[in-house]
Amino acid sequence: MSLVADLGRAELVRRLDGPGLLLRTGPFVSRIQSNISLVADGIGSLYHDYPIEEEGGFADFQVRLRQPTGLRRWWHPQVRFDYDGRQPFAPLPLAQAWPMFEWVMNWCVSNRAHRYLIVHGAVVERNGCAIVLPAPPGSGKSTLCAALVCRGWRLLSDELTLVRRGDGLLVPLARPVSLKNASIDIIRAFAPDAFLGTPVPGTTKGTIAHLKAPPDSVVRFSEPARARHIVFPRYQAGAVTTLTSVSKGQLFMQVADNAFNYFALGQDGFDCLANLVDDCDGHEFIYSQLDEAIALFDRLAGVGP
Amino acid sequence: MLFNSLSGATHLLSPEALVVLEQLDAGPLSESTLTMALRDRFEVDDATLSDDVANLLGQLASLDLIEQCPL
Repeated sequence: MSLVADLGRAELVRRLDGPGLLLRTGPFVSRIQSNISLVADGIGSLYHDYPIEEEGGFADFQVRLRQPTGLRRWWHPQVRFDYDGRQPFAPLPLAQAWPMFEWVMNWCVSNRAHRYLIVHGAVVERNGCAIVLPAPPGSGKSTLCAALVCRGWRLLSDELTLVRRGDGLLVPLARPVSLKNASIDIIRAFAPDAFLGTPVPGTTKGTIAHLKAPPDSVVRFSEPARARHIVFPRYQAGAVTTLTSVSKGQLFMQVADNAFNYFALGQDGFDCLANLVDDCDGHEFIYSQLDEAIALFDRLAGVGP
Repeated sequence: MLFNSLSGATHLLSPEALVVLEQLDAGPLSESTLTMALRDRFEVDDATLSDDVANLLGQLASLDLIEQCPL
């Protein structure tokens, strides 16, 4: 199996600017076409150990991120996203091409991959114990997820929990972890050896930088995991680390609220979510200290004291 | 939890609502029969129970989970 790293920069750019790079992320293959050097830079660094498929192969998603030609090339240059010939989003400033790439990769899955129940939430796994972290933006979910994967937890996803409808297993979709604003320096200080992409200021979410997924998590893209806990994290400055149980009924409703396609799946979605909730204990989690949070997660996974 | 396959809605039911729907699963029952079933299960006094049952039946009807019919 070939990797992005095997291509070299010139071939990577040629494929992106020509027939497309067939990039595998978890169960999906995306044909990516782009004439933007920031996109080539991001794929070359944050995805360099990801598998690629041969030119002309099948792709689940057709993703084009292009810099318009003409006057727009010089005057307030932009990046446009094109999906199968349609443009679902307004263009963004060219400097935001990389965050836009990550957003559209999420958009493709959350809008198209309905063979899964898709929950807006991170998934990490250790010792065979997968923990789902559903949470709205600003809860500290990505910061906690980044800290966990920097301390030996496997990353299944930072953003999209894929629940396989047949057996309820969580399917890995390990991609870079999106860090925002103060979280960027927090993770830099917490894990100085971790690789972060270049921070991009001025997006609708503030400054964004992406943490590279651990190589082991990328290699294990075909190993699903069984969820054992669903944890709703909330960062609160100065708070004591607190874990509180959530009833099964409330757990069901809160996860359904965080699902992209629960209503689209009808009875199948209900049955799938009911099985997931049956498998898991639910918790509200308040934290301010990452080391304490990780120690608690290790105990949930049966690791450590 | 209850999934209404006609409307596609999901409901988080109270224990009392669950008893009512279980009782009605086999067919229509009078309000007084449902009241007795709830009294047996939850040991509450009749005075408060009659108002509560009327409210509960009203809520379930407004969610299209039950409907009134002549017995």
